Amino acid sequence: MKLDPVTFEVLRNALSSMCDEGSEMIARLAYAATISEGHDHSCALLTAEGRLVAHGNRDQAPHIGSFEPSVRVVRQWIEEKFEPGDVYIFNDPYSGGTHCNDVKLIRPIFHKGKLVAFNSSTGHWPDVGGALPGSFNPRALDCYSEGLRIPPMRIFKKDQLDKTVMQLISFNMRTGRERVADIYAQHRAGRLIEERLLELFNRYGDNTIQSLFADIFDYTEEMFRKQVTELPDGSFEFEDFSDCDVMHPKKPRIRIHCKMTIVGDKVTFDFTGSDKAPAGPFGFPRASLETAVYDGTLHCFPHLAPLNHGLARSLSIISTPGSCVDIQEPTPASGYASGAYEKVAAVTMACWANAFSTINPKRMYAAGINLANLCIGGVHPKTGKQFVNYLWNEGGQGARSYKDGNSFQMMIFIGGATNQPIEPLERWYPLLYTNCNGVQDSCGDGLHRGGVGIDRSFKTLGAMTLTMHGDRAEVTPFGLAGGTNGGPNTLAVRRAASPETVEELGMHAMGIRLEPGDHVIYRSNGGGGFGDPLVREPARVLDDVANGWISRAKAETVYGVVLKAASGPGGALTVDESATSALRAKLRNQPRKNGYGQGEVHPLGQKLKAPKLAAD
Amino acid sequence: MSRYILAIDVGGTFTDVICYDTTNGAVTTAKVPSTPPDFIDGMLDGITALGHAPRDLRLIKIGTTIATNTIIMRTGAKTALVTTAGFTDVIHAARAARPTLYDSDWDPAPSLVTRQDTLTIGERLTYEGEVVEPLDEAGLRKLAAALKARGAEAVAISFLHSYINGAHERRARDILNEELPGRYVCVSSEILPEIREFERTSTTVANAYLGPVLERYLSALLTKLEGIGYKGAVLITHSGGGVMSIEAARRIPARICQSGPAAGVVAGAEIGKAAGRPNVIGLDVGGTSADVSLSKNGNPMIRGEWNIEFNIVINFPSVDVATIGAGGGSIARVDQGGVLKVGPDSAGARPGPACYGRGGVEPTVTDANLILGRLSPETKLGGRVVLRRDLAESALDKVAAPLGYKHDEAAAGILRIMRANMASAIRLVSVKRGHDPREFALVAFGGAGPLHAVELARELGIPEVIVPYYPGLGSALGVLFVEVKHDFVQSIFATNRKFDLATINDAFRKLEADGRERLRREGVPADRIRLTRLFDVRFYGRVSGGLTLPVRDGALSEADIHEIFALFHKRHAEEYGYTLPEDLTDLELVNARISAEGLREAPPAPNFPKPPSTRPQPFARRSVYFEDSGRVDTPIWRRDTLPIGHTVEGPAIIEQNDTTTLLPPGTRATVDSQQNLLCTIG
Repeated sequence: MKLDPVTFEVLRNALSSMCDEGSEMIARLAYAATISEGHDHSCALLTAEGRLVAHGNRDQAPHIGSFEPSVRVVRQWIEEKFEPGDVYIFNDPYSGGTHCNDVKLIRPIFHKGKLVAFNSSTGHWPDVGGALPGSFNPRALDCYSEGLRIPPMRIFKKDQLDKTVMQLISFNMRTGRERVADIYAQHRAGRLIEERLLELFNRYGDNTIQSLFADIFDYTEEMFRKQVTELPDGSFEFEDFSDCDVMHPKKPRIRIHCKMTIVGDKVTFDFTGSDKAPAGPFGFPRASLETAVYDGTLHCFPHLAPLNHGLARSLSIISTPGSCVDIQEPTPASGYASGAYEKVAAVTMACWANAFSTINPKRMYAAGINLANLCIGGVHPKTGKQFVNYLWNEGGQGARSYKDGNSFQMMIFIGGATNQPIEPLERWYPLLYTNCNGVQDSCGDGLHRGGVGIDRSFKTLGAMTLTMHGDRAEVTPFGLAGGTNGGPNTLAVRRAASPETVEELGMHAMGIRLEPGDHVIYRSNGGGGFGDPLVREPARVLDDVANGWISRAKAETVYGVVLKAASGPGGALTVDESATSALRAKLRNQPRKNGYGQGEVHPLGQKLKAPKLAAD
Repeated sequence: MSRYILAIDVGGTFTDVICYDTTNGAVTTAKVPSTPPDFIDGMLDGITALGHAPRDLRLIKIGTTIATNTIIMRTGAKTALVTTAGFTDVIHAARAARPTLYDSDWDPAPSLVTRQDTLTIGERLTYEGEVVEPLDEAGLRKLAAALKARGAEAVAISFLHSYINGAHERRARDILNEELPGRYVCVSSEILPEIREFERTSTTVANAYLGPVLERYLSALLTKLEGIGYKGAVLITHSGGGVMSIEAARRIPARICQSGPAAGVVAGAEIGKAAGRPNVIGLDVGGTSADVSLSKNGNPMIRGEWNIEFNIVINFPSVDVATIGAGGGSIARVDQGGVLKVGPDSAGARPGPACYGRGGVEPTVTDANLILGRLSPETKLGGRVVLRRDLAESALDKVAAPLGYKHDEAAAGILRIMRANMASAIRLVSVKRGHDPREFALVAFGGAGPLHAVELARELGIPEVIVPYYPGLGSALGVLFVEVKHDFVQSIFATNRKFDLATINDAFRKLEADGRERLRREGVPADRIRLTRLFDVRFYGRVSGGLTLPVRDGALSEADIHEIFALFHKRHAEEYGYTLPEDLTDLELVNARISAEGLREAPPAPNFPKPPSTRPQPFARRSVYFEDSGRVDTPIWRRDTLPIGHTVEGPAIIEQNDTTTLLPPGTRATVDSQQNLLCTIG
């Protein structure tokens, strides 16, 4: 390290907190609800060579790994010389990662006439054109039906907005004129990063700050390699599946396979065992594969966060172009987050869990809730105005090797995002919610159980069209070490016209017409369990029953815990010790079913040995 | 004749009392140990220590940590929540958010009501307040039996859309009061009638959780005060930077949370105003944390949301205080990568920094200050402790050795990082919210504030630091200054295209009537009531963001409303850098608010003990380490020897009983007419 350890710590924190400031500024100034309410935005600092130095602490993980490729594209494709006050706009998934909705602004930063850094920020726009409102198209066959792809274009010159570029954008998407507000929000954040960074350059000098960048990478790489050396050498495999190829539902499920190999301080992630990209949207481009691997890795090395180039350069990632984790134009990309991203991050964590199991068994996490994008649109019967909205659900987190997973959490890759309050939704959209409660028994079970999913079902008060782009209705969040897989994402409708039947809509529903009074039943995943449910302390099972997380039936059939009610009305439940011992002895002789659905045990996850860790 | 006003701040460790003589402004103080769990005896000790007969006391104003403590220690009432059928987990899901991105080990704070104590009842309203499903009254009576069986001491009732129609909630309360006499019951439409079900429910649950505890506390307090012969009024400080009656505190105890820090902010604002600096940043550094705040034009910044813990939300309009884990007890360590880190973990009061000699072995910020000569080894803590340099040094070895540093270098490094952390917190309340810290003065409070403030100001380009006469009594001073104040809110939901003038005018009339009535009951004469109207305006379809804009008094005309929308566009363009034309998006008048204040007869103008007039001399010299110049033989002054108008040039240290002010070379401090130390930089 070139800098002294005190200056290093002071300046590293300064870089990180300027990105926090930038990111919060985007949320505060933006107009798009996806950004201002959903917090689907990020803000980062990169070196002049385009290496990631820092990002905001509550940013979105999928954006973060896409900053390096995005700046690389701007550096390579733009022929004119960068000038102070230039800002480029860009959203191509194939070269920059994620999907067209994630629009990046990239700002070169100059000190004394020399290019010294880049700022890049991302905001998820509510619509970028394409066939359907919201630009999620579960039946897309190519990216051209998903929205406008913007190559790197200069959108600010001398900090003045280029109106022609702006018009090109606003002509090609729904509510496009509003996006000028979001562009200004990201632009202002870029200016803030520039101002803050130049303060540091002026105060500490060019040499110190350039050394700082290099030191940050070295520090992270050194810490990471040191810890990898402590892990046993070897290969660890894991795999997970998408429910189906939406265009060919009869074909086998899409496989994501990872083989992680540790040799000394070197780690390689080999995804060549993953399936070819399906025709429909599920896969993601190479840049997002890298991001998802960094994401899963940082959850197991949380002290190395925020992500920077030092970690990126310490990992080797192998993929086959054209596979579902390395899609090529024009394979659709809009569904990458609910598709490949969740699986790759989860599989990466499961590989690390294998490696950590004997060294630091607290770094083992079962899989949690998978994103499901529900989009509704129509004309509001009271106002006569068009509306479009996304609804997403929180759900169960995977169990940790030493404690239960939490219920009602956002997806693992989401930092600052929140759920959507019901009262404002009912004011803006013709909806009447019927539920906001946990889905009993949706947790994966184990010595430590997963969190439960949520039920946010609603009735429609007007006609509307519904589209769902999700996953994990069948292949549910996996458990580890003998813990069972969690509950499914589900979407169904009970029609006002035929209330006696429930029509399953599944995770790839498109253009479903809803009439007033239809009841949409919308529930989310529970997290996977960890360890054998038959060794969970009966008192904790009792507590789960008392709080309604699990039913008495599940307590018996899965946990082998028999409860009895004290005599008298409303008598409290207690554990029937002798019946429990007998039932557990009996259940131990009945092997649990291997598989990928709820209540089954993931065949590879089962091979992990559960460490003996007491619950916190 | 009753001439004294007592301002009492009951903290976790000490209770501070300031006695203000209304005839001449003379101020006397007392500091006594706090007496948890009920804190009352300590308060009486403080009153006794001042030596005035209770009949001479006119008014007692109290700021207390009891509400905050009750929540943090989870010692509140066994509380049940009754909510709309189907919506059990509004409270337990909270906002489903996490504080950091990469942290699968994190757990949310446990809710104040368990899931099994969350009960539901049939009822449902639309967003316009129309009944979809009537309240299941028979079911509620059955549910009352279940509540009884569960042993619930307090019940919070929160139904969907009750902010627009509270009839179901009120009816449910009446039924539960009949069925369960003596239980504390509160309803969300009275506690916080604002849209957003989680925030309203969480605030109401916190209120119920505190209700019985505060009820017992306030009753015992009144009984004991009567017992010593006190017959005057008692007012309790709240988080909005005001005081309220005991009656109001019983009804909305959740407003008492965070009242101590809020009062401290008011003190900073008042001290700044009196010193001719209406724009101040307040910095209060204690043992485990630093509170940072900002006041502009003499008014503390107010925010609508406050997380007492992550996921435990209390959403009254509150003085905006940012708290970070940086204090004298913050622990320094070297991580695996060889980098020095400071905090957020703290040695706290027990065992405290290593130099306290109470068994602490980790090096802390206080240890670093002692080693660098900034703190005197003679420093007294609570009257007794003498700081031990040898213990500080051996603790410091833990970081100095792996870094290969000498003690001075390592200690200076710890302070540099501590300063950088505090600078980030100040940027949080200033720059991030659009204020330039260079246009503010820094007011330093707390035992450790003045020790770091001048260097910190230099780092941020803040030109001046004010060290008040009693930097250790910030909150108590604030309690002295705060006025009776209440905030009232009513949701409106009109847009620029469609608004009903009568509804808006009725809302303000009702809010103002409520405000006047509340203040009247608290004994404020009609001619001392000040009502301020505000409107929350947003782009239609937003939950967050938007602006709170002032509204003129009297009956509003259509033109007035359009003027508010025009003002929104102007202010939005100023603050956000853009606004959107009305053909793109509508504007919404979300809430009408009023702030009702009872003005004092005369604002307190404290006279501190008479300053000396003789020319002062430093009472000692010692070697002090400064970052730019290394060890310097530095004069040490006693604060109480400095006459008004006297200037001390840095390098210098100014000591007083409750704090130490550090002046690095190139800075100076002048005693102003209020006996503040006014430190200037550069």
